[in-house]
Parts: sequence; structure tokens; C-alpha cells
Amino acid sequence: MKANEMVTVQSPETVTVQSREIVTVQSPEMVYANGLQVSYGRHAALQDISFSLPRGEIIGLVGENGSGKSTLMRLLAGMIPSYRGKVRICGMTDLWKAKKRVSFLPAVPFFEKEKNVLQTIECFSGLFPGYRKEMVQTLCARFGLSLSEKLSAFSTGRLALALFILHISREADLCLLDEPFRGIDIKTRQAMKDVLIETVSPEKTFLISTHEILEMEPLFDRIILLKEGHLVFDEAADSLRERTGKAVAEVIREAM
Amino acid sequence: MMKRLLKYELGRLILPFGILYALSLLLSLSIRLAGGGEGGSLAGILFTFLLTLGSAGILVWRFYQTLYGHEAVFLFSVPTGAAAQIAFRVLSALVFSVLSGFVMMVSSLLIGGEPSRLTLSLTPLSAAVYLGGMVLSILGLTLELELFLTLSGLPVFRPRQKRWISAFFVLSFAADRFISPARDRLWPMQLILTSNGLFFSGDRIPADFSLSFSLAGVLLSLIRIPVCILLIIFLIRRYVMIAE
Amino acid sequence: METFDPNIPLYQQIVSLMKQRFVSGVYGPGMKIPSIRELAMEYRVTPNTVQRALQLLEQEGLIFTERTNGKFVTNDMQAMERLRTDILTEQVRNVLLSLREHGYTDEEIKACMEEEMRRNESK
Repeated sequence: MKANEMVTVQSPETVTVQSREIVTVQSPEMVYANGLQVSYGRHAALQDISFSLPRGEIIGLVGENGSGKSTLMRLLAGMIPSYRGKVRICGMTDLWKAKKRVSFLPAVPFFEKEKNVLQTIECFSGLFPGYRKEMVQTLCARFGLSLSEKLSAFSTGRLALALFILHISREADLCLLDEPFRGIDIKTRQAMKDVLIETVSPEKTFLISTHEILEMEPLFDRIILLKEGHLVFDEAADSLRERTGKAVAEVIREAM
Repeated sequence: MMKRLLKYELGRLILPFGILYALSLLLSLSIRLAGGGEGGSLAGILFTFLLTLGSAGILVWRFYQTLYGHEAVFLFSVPTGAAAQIAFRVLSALVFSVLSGFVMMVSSLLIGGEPSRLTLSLTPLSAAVYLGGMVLSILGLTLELELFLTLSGLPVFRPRQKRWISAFFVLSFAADRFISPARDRLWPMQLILTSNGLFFSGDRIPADFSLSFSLAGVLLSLIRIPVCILLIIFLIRRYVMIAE
Repeated sequence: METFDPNIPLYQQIVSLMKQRFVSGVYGPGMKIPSIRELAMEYRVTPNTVQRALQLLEQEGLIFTERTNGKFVTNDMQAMERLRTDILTEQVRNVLLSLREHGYTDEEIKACMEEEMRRNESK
């Protein structure tokens, strides 16, 4: 090993450096979680969740309501500091610091109704470093979203698309999307899918929770299924199909 | 750079405070026009209550929205630490507390009569002390309520329990403030005002008080505020779940 | 827009689709194929799936990568011929299998095939 050479290892804990040269260890995965537990009072929302999210993949998070999907997303977004177990995002254990690299679009996103897209862009670029203003404007132009109209005047579908674009243009490695397709018309969903495929890059990871698994199947490299706070499986979509000879949606339905 | 959060929060507070201030000024004008200005400083006290409780109320309501509502998720996804999250809230509270103090003075002037005379006769030092007292009042009340809101956000409590806890503390603090606010806060100011040769409405000066007691009161206020802030930072960093 | 069979691994289906395009001439020998991103957008699948498919095609010798220029269809005419034959054989095999399972005899199948070919010619 040469000094300053970047080494990728399977599990950072097992590295033993024998020479006195400086070696930078970079974890290959975007998210590493082990034995995660979250409780709301006596109700256990997540129990013993362990998984590893690779970089550059689109991962689908599936499960019934109350299975812990939202809780897991919030944990990764740094909104739940009191959890048990280990988690690392981009190699960082401090989730407050990891927020720089994580973007979170909740199921009901917040926005200022009186502002228009341009003003919201200004607001976002002030609050989130490295915000990509031009990307938002380009995408909005492509889908015919008005930059100067107040957000309160947008229809549900277009509003969802606008907020989706606004959040996806953040400079983040881990993009968490909590049910972005819920209640959205087909045309807007297609638009979102297109944007998603365009934005994918080998450094970015998307974790998307959804119920419409049949429609979204082709979009996912990997599927994680949660049931009542437990992790049922975490597997690549194609390997699931190869192994069972069934559609992912079918496998999920059987597991539930 | 994360004081962009401050700018954001100030922008969000302008509307509710604007309404509060407009109401206050209108009310004081109408009191004057109704000839109530000569009715002693009862109106002045009323306005102190109105503005103190109103300001604290707005700030605490805003804090609640940004800790338990959808806006909370948004604000907490901004990449800053827990300290910065509280810093911008406290600073914006400070800004509007000072503004409320000024509006209080203007209202007094508008009412006419005794409150107006009193305000006009304040020396710069007394005015500063007066403002300071107002700020301490508002901030102290606000931060104590925010601390208890934060405590009730701990995951050990179930949602229904949380609501009862919040209600209890809000009510007990409001009651406490209603019963004895002016006396605690205004003592040091009365001391300074009377020593400057100004007089304050007779029925509020207690039978006996000592300088040290008053100063202790001020000191307590000054300590309470940073302690609340530090506790809130600690709780948010370690325990409070930002959830809907 | 393609609708995929959700029961079969997506990358395999992409491989089949690409092979079809090689054989039908949409991507002729030596032609540059679109980037992974473009293909992903066209098929509406993830770029990773496309990449896996292209890796397989490269392993089978049907495409090659030129470092800075991208990926190209092979110029190897033999490989292309082999592909054409493979596809034809596979399709015929599938049809025969299916029809035989239905109970048709080889003579019936052959006669029907010839009849259909004659019909299509006169169009």
C-alpha cells in the first residue's frame, strides 16, 4: 500500500495497518446499519434491523403501514437521535454531521404556500450548501412547471413533482424519499421516474419507500421488505427474480 | 452562514407579530379616544401583560410548529448541529422581544395620560432597564415553555401523555405568570425609576423590598435563560425525535 | 415503451431486446450504441440493470468498449451470424415446443407454416 492510496474494504473494523503510512479507508457502502432498534414509548417501531445499502443503487423500501418504513427513513435523516444499534452513513457515525450528505423528502413535505418556485429555490440554496439552482430550473422548464406561480396554485400532481425536483436537486449522496408517488397521477409518476433515472449516478443512493411495488419494480435495483419492525429480506431485484422465478411484487405479497 | 435560518425564521415571525403589534397600537389608540388614558396605569399594566404573553405565545407556538409539525422535518434536515437549531430560534425571539418592548412604549405614549407621562419621563438608562426587563420577561417565559415542550417530546411518553404534560405546563406557567409577573420583573426597575426621581403607580410598590432581593431576581432571570437554552440543546441532540 | 415481464430478471430481458436490435439492424455492426443513461431512460429501468446487460453482451462478444468513445456493436460478422442463427433457433424451438405440447403433429405445423408464408407473400 502506498501512502494516501484509497483502499476500499468490506468492513472497516477489520483493517489492520502495519506500516506507518497514512491510509484512507473509505467504506464501500452508503449506509451500514446493524441491530437498529427504535421505540416510541413501549411500542417498538424497529427491531434488530441490519442491512447495508451500496452506493449508486435505487433501493425500494416496502412494507405495510406501521412496518417501520417511515421510522427507518427518519432515523437515516437524523431525526431520531435516540436509537439503539449502530449506523453509519458515508462512514460517519454522527448523524447530525451526516445530514450534509442526506436529503429527505417526507410523505407530506413542507413548503411555503405564498412563495413561488424561484423564491423557494432561493430559500433552499441559502439553507442547503451546494444547491443546484440551474438543475431545478431546467427540469421545471422541461415539465412545464411555472417558476413564478405561487405554490398554493399548483395542482396536487404538479406540486408533488415540483417538490420532488426541489429536493432531488440538493447536493446529497443519500436521497431518502418517503412515498413520493402516493396519490399522484400516472403522467406525473412517469415524469418523476424519468427524473430519477437521469439523476442516478454511481455516488448517489436512493432509498424510496412505496406501496405501488408492481408499477415501480423496474426502477429498483434492490428491495428491502419490512414487516412489523423486522427486516424480512434485503436483496437485489434481479437476483430475487432469478431465484424465485416470480415477480418481486408476488414475492412481497407472499411474504406479507 | 446558518444564520440564513435566522433570516428565514424572522421572515416567518413578521406576520404574527405584525398583527399583534397592530392590534396593540389600535387598542391603545381606542383607549385614548375613549378617554381611558386618565384612568391610571391600569391600562399600562394591561398592555404589559398583553404584549408579554402575546409575544411569548407567538414564539412558543412557532417553536411548537417547528418541533412537532411538518416544518420541523424540513428545518431539521438543514445540515446544522443542535446548537445552531436553537441559536436561530433564541436570536429571533430576542429580536422580537426587543421590538415588543418598543411597541409597549409606543402604546403607552398613545394611551395618553399617566402611562404616556411616565414613558416620556424615562431617562435613557431607565428606558434601557425597562426594555431589558421586558426582554427578560418574554425570553424567560418563552424558553421555559419551550423547554417543557421539548421535554414532552421525549420518546418515553406516548402521544396522549405528551399532550397532557404540555397542557399542564402551559397552564401552570400561564397561571404563575398571571399571578405574579409584574411584581417579580418590575422590582428592579421600580428601584431604579424611583431613584431617578420618577414615580410609578403607587399600588404596585410592595411594602418592603431590599436591593439584594431585586438584584437576585434579575440574576435568576439571567441564569434561567442560558440554562433553558443549554438544556434544550442537550435534549434535542440526544433524545428528541422529530416526528409527526 | 417496453412492458417487462416482472417474473424474469430485467437485465436478461434487456439483453434480449438489444440482441433483437442487433439482428434487425437498428444497431448495425460497428455502430455506436447509446450511453447507459440513454438506454436506461429509454427502457425506463435503472442504469445498473442496463450496465449488467451490457456487461453480459460484452462477455458474449457482441459489443466492445472503446475507452473514451463508448460502446460499439461488434464488427465481427461471424459473431453476428451466430447471433442471428441462435435467435432463430431459439424462437423456432419455443414455438415447436409449445405447439407440440398443444398436440399438433409436425406435418400439421409444417403445412400451416407454408400456408402462412404463402399468404404473407401475396400481400
